[in-house]
Amino acid sequence: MSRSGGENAELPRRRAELGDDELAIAIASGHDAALRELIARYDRLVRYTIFRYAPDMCHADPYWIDGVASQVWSGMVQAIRSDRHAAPTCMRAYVVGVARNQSITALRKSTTIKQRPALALEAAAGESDPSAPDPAEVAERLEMLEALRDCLQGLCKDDRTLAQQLPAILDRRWREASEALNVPESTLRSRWKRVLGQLRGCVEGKTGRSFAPNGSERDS
Amino acid sequence: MPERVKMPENRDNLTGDEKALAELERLERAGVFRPTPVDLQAVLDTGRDPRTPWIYKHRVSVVAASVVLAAGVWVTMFATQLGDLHRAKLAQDSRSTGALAAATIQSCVAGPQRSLSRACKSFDTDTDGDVDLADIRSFQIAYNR
Repeated sequence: MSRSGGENAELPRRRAELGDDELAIAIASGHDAALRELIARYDRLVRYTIFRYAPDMCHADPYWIDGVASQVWSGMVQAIRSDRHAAPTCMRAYVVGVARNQSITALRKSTTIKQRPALALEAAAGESDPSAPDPAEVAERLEMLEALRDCLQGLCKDDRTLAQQLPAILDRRWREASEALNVPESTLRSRWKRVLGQLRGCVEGKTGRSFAPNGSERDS
Repeated sequence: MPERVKMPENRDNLTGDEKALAELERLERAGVFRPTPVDLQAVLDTGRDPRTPWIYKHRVSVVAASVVLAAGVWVTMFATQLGDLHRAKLAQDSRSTGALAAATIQSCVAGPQRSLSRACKSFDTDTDGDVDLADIRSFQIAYNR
């Protein structure tokens, strides 16, 4: 039976206050508002996990990640609503696990026959690889990157224009970036150093930890 | 439709901070921070359990079990009936054999010291050369045992 609209008002508390297990129960009952809330909480984690497992596919086709993420949500809802699956105890780990499996499945489907054996080996190695990223590490990294993103958006106007030249700066195309910003190259370099310091402080303020240990030192 | 993303070239010479920024830039380019366009109703419909009745899910097993059960009951009943019939027939046979024997011994009784016909010799249980009351007694005891 379809439940939507008016039945969403039956959710006992405001959606944001509900725990993951309560949301899962509400989804099992067909509340689309609960599903919307779960997606709002974990959509970025799903997409980030997909990106971690298939960065090349995500870069090659910008819509590929949308398709895989949709499959992740369909699969999760199906699992939650199935009698055979109880509500997951740790939603974060569950989300990362489902996203990882869907990424591997989608990679296998979208890769050509010629590439398939290598991919299968790679996926099999990933399944048994003890160094495969654990969900907590994935979520922490995403949290840091989101904080960094917020900090970038919170920069003053001049520094935000600097951030717009991020690809050129990271590729060390200083001249190109300085011409685009219409500032001398030396000024650009010093402003960039200052912006990096600001971002470091901002991220540490938001997350309580450095986004790049030994970040100011050059890794060679 | 967005353009295909060109992968960055040489970024080995980056600080730790810049590596995080480079990762963020790749995520932005790949659209990781875009919301997934999810058709909630379609997803919920996909995940909807049709709540199939138990009897429908296991219909084949139920039919098979019913057939086996019915066959078992039928075989049991048939075997019981067959047994009853067999016992009844045996009893009837036994009764008719006894009646025949009783009628025969009756015709053989001639009293003590009387000669026996050949057919009556089997009733001379004490082998004294005649069929008398003593032989009838032995016959009755054997017949009723």
